[in-house]
Amino acid sequence: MTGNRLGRLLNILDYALSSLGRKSLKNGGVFIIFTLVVFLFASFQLVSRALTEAAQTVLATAPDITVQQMSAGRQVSIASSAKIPLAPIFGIKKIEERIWGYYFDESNGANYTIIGLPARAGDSGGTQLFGLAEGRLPVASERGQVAISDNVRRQLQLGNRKHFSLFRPDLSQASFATVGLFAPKTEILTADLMVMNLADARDLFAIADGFVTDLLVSVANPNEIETIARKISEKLPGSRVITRNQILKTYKVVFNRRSGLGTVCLLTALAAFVILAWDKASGLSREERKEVAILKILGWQTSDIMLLRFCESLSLSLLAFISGYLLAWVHVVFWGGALFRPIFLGWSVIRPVFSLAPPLAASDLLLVFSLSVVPYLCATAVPAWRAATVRADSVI
Amino acid sequence: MMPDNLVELQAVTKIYNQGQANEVIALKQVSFTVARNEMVCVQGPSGSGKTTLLSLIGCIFAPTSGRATIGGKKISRLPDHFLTRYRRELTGFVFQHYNMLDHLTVLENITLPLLPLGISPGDRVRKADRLLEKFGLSHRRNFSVTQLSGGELQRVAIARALINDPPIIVADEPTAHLDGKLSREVVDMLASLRDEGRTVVIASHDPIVSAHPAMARIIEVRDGIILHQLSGR
Amino acid sequence: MLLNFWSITLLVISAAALCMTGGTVWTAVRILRFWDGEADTARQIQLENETWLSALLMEYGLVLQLFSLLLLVLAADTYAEILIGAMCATGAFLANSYGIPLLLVKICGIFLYGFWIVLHRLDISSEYLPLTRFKFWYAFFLAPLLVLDTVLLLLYLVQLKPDIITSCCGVVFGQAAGDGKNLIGPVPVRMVMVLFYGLAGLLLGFGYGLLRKTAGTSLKAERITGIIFSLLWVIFFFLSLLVITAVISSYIYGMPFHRCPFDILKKQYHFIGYLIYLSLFGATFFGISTGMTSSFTTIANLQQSVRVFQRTALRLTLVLLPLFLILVSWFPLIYLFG
Repeated sequence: MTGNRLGRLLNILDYALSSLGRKSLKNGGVFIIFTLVVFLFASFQLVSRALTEAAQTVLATAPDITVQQMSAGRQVSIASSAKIPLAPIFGIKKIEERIWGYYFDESNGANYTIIGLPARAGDSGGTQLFGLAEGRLPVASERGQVAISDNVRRQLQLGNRKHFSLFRPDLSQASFATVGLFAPKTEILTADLMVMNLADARDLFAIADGFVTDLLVSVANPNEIETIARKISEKLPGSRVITRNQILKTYKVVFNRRSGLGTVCLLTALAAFVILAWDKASGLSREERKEVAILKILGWQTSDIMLLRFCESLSLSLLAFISGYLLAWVHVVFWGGALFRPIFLGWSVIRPVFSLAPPLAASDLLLVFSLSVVPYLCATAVPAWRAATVRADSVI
Repeated sequence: MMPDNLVELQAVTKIYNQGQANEVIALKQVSFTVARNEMVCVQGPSGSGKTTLLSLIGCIFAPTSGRATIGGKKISRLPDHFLTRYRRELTGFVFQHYNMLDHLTVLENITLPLLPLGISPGDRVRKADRLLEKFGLSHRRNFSVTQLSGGELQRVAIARALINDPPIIVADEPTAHLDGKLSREVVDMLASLRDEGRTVVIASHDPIVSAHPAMARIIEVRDGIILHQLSGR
Repeated sequence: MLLNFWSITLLVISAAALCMTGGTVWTAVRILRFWDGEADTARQIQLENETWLSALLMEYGLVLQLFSLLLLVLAADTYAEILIGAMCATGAFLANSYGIPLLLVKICGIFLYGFWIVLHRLDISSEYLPLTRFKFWYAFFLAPLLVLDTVLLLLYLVQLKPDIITSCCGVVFGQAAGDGKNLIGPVPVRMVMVLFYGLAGLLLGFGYGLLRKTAGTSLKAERITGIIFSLLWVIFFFLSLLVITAVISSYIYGMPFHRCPFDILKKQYHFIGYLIYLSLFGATFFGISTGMTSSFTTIANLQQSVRVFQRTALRLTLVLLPLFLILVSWFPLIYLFG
């Protein structure tokens, strides 16, 4: 019985495939549009996932806890002395000061991110954080030195020169010499970045002595991060305490929302496609009616005809799904998801060049499958039944 | 075990579109039987109910009222999927216009009834080849049906009707598009099926059919009723 | 959290399921009003055709519910990554009061859709289609469940806010009494496991006995036996979910305070959850169906079909239930004796 059922399925599937081949003109149009719909959805999902993964990689380098001072709902400089009440908290490994900010270059409209770190000579932590292609990171004992990316170097039009100047708020110039160049593989992190020592950053932004932008807290046991963050916020009222996890979740929410927004827009494409599918499937030509009537007279039951039409729809949709997904994969991996990246990454003069490498996840496949193949099969259900109820005696 | 009468109709009525404005009474209280191993001819003008009668015998639909027993199975008010099953098991239909699928070969057309039964490709081909050999069509097995002559097509149609080895063969005007010689060949073929032990019911105006020695009875149908039944000889 | 690929997909699937079931309900209304098995009218022929459409739509509905359940669990796992405090899908389901009811309604839906299909197959096995009216009344009353499913889904997604603190499974399924958010309170493990294996053994014996029984039982006794069998399966199903969550999962994870019924579906645990749940759902479905179909043996022209179905279903339960027991017992045994 099971063998008969399987045999029936295989026989009807075989007939369905040859039927698809015969009606290649009619099915070709549906196939192309279906592939396009899958391509759009899959590209969106793959770009979203790839960026989320990239963000995860980048944020692995972020500090465990970042402490900032808030005033009137905005971030202001935090006193270095805020470290003192935090020191007794059990589980804190290290508290570092950081000054960072944006420098707007009027000559080319670029915004550089300036980070001032208290790196000491021989401190290799910074090198791990920002992989260097050549040179070294600036150290506290030497003023006027920076590490920059190739992108920034091009923006500054340095060429082979190592020296350049930036303007302080009072329009006096601060001179810098490039001592290190970030590796291309860190582009996603360092594309617009200049790293200098803490004193230089304070000087450039004219931040008062004894104040920094934020405190970076390292925790010995990652499981304790949330607890220690809570304790810090209790010890420093008015401060904003952000964990790395929260930053990552925020990025995920942003990417999710944008992918959701994009999906909503693409739903109109899906709806149009479903209507097209219904329309195409509903139209029974005289030849098709005759074929069904003959099959029924020869002993094919209504359920056999419905299975035949289902096999046709399933085969077509699976083929389109695989084609669409493959095209999306190529689009994302080899062309960097060019169609959708601007939606996710926004506008910027300095755009990091990084390649997207989304993993092939079963959940992503299931997601796009549910949003493409399933609605198509549902749309063709009633037309399949209508075809199957053609009367057998209509050929007599 | 097949009963003695393979076709038994008792006061069978068939009404199309019952209860609607375009209601048509195609058969009115028709009663007759066809015995096992009997060959009968049904005659009547267009609109007489001849095709409806054949469709009932061929289990294409069930009667509106009355009792219809085909091959021992009561088909009155059967759901469609049961009718289809009995149609497949009990009857083989030969059509006036052949009703082949043009996009399939001779072999594929013949094996069409076997697909939903889950029969493997090898077994299907073996069954079909036996029939093709019987009807002298082995050399045409992989031809498209559009390349066949009228006589060849009708032989393919008969082969297709026999693929499930049914006890009843129903033929609707099988010689309509054939010349005299071919008509005689086709009727001889159908008669040989009777000789094999099958019951054959043919609807035809053709005197070559009604005058065939194997024909046991000629049933005259007019306006949905059986006018008379004459002995064929 | 409506603006999310997962949420939108869940809503699209839900909408598709609603459309499918809506079509069946429309047919149900017409069939319940006009069905006449003896008539040969155009309307009756059309209604008979429409029963095939209904069957197709309900089969689609079942597949959509299965898809929807899987997607919901995977979606909850994704939501957990952006809900503060949620460590896994459990936390996502507990983020608001609609998550768990939604999950339970979906699970019920799968069984109820599946049973409609059993009814349909039995109905069309008889020339008289004796269950047609009954199955369409059943479909009629299934529709509100699907509407409830969709409403709960909407409410769950709308109420899901990324910045809401929720529980992680370690808190939810913890042993300590008095915790604010325990979904399942402290369970006496030994007693629960004895009950679990005892009931499993009873079901195996009961099933084997039903399979081997010869004629001679009265139809009334058969019906009562069937109902009891089904009830036992329902109890066993919920007991199994409790056991998987509160006891077995910890052994699978190798962590005593990680009690989550969803993480066992993940890659790092070799997707063992799929096998466990497939065998449990399958065994439960066929077990309940065997019992429920006993009520139809009183219909003369269905007896044969019902018996054939019951034999097949019982054989399946006698394969799937031991498989389930082996799968869930393996991990504690390896831990205790490996």
